[in-house]
Amino acid sequence: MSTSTDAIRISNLVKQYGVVAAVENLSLSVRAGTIFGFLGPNGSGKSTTIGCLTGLLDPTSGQIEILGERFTADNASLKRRMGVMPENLGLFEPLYAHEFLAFIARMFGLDEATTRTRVTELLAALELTDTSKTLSEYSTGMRKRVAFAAAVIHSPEVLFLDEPFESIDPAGVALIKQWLRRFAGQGRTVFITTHVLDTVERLCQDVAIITKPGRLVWSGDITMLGRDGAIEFDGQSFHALEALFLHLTGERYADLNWL
Amino acid sequence: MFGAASVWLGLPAILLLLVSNYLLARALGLLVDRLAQSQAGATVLMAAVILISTTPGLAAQSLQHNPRMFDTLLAILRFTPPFGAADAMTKFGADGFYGLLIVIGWVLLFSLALWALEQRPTERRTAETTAIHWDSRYDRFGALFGARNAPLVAYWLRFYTRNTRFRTMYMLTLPLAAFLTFNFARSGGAKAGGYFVAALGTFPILTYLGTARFAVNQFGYSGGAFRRYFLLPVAAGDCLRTGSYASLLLGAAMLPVGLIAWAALVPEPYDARSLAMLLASGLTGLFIFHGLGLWSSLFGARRGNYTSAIGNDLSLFGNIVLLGCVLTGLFLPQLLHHRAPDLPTPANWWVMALVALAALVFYIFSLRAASAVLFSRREQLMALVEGRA
Repeated sequence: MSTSTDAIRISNLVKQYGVVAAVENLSLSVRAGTIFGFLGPNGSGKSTTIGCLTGLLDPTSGQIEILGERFTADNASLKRRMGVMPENLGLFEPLYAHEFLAFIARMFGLDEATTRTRVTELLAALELTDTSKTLSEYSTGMRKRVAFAAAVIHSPEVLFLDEPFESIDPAGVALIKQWLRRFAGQGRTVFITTHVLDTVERLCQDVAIITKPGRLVWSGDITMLGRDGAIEFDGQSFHALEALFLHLTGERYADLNWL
Repeated sequence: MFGAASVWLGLPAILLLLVSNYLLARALGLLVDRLAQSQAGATVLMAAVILISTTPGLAAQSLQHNPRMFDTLLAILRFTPPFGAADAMTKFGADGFYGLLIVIGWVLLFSLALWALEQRPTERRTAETTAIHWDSRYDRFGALFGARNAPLVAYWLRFYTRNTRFRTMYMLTLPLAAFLTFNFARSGGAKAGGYFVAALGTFPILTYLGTARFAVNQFGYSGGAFRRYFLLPVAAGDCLRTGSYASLLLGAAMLPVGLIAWAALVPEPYDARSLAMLLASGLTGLFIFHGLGLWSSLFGARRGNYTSAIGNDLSLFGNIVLLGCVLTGLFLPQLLHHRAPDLPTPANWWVMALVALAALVFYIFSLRAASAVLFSRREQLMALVEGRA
C-alpha cells in the first residue's frame, strides 16, 4: 500500500534479459524516513531492482517514482538527490580516496569549501587516513568504506546501499548503522539489500522479501521483532526474521553424514 | 648419420635453440614489464628503444668503412646460440659437441636470468607524501574545459597519467616518430622534401600513439567503475566526451614538442609554411583518430587490464582503428608524393588546414552522436567491461 509520504514507489516493475526474467511484476513502496530492508536469496533480483531504481538499468516495463517524481535513467536532477553504493562499489581505482570523494562531491554540486570539509571529515571518521595508497591498493573493507562515503557525501534524501556491511569490521558497521539511524531520523530514506538478517532486524523498520525471479513474497513492518513480538504469516508466528526468510525462500536441509 | 654431421648432436641443438629463444623472450618480456613498473623504467626503455633503433644503421656504416670488423664480429657471434647450434648441426666430433655446449650454456644462463627476475619483487611507485593536496594540476587543467566538465576531465587526466604503460608510450612517442620520419625519408632516397613528406605522416601519429590504447577502448579498463558514470547527475555522454578531451589534450601537447624538434633538427631549409602544414597534419590525425576512437569505444569495447605493461588487449575494431590510422598516416603522404608530387609541399599548407577543419567537424559530430549512443548501449557495455559478457 502506498501513501503520499512514500519516498520510493515501484509499480509492476519488470526487467527481462532476453527471455529470462530477472524481476517479475514487482510492486512495493518505501515510506519516507525509514530504513527499508530489501531481502532475497542470491540471484533473486535484488541488485537488478536497485539497478533499475538508480538508473543503471532500464526496466522492461513498469514505473518507478522517487521522492514523488517519476524516475528515469536520464533524470539528472533526481539523481542529485540520491546516494548510491552499488554492488561492485564503482570506485575509480587510479585515484586516492580523497580525490575520489572530492570528485563525487564536485559532481554533485558541492562548493569547494564544503567539499574539502566533508572529504576530510569522512576520511577521518571512517579511518581512511592512509592517503599514500590508491583505491586499487585498498583492502575490501576500506574500499567499502570509501564507497559508503561517496554515497553520503552530498547528503542525499534517498540512499541505496547494496550489501553495505559485508567485509567491514564490527566498529565500522556500528558507525555506519549509527549514521543510518540518524539519517532516517531526519526524514531521509535508506534502501538496503543485505544477507545479514540480524542487522536488518535491528536496523530496519520495513522489509520486503523477494524470491527468484524478482517476485515479492512478503513485505511489512518488522519493528515488533525488536519488542519480542512476532510476525504472523501463513498461520505461523515468526519471532525472528531469519525464520520468516527461510520459510518464504525455501529452507534447505542436506544431511551430510561426514560433516 | 645425415649429411655432414651427426643427428645426435644436431637434433638436440635445434631443440635447445628453440628453448633458449623461448627463455630469452620470456626473460626480456619480464624485464620490460618490471622496468615499466619501476620509477626510472620509462627512461631506461626509451634509451633502449633509441639504442636499438639507431645501432643497426650506425653498425652498417661502420662495417662499410671498416670491413675487417666483420671478422671480429663473427668471432663474437660464434658464442651465440644460433652459431652454436649451427656448429652442432654441421660439424663432427669435438667441434660439434662444443657448439652444443654453447647452446646449453645459454639455456642455463637464460634460465638463471628468468629465475632471478621472477624472484625479484615488482617495484611499485608509492606516494612521496601522505598529506592531502587540494591544489592539483589535474584540476587546473580540467578547469580549462568549464565548470561542468572540470571534475571529469581532471579524473580522466589522472586515469591516463597514472598508468605506467601510458607514461612509457607517451615518452617513447617522440623518438619513435623521429625514427619513422628518418627511415621513411631515407627509404625515399632522402630527396629534397623527403623528410617533410615523411613528417606529414608521422606528425598525426605523434598526437595519438601515447593515448591510443585508452582512446579506442575508453571504458574497457574501468571494470566495475563503469557503472559509476551512470550514477552521476550528468548526461552519460559527458563521461565519454571528457575522456576524449583528456586524451585530446595529452595528444595535442606533443604537437609543439614535435614542431620544435622539426625546426631544430631536420636538415631542410626553414619554411614557416611547412610548420603550419605539419601542425595541420597533426591536428587532422588528432581529430580523426579521436573521432574514430569514440566509435571504437562504443562498438569495439573490450575488457582490458589497466595495469598490464605489455600485450595487445584491444578488440578487432580497436586494432583496425589504431593500425589503420598509423598505416594511413605513414603511407598516404608517400602515395600522394608519388602520384601528385606538388601536393604534399609547404605551398599547399592551406589545403592541409582545410583538411584539419574537416577532421574537426568529424570529431564534433562523433562527440555528439556517440554520446547519445552511449546511453542506449550502457547495459551491454556494463556487462562487457565487467566481464559478464
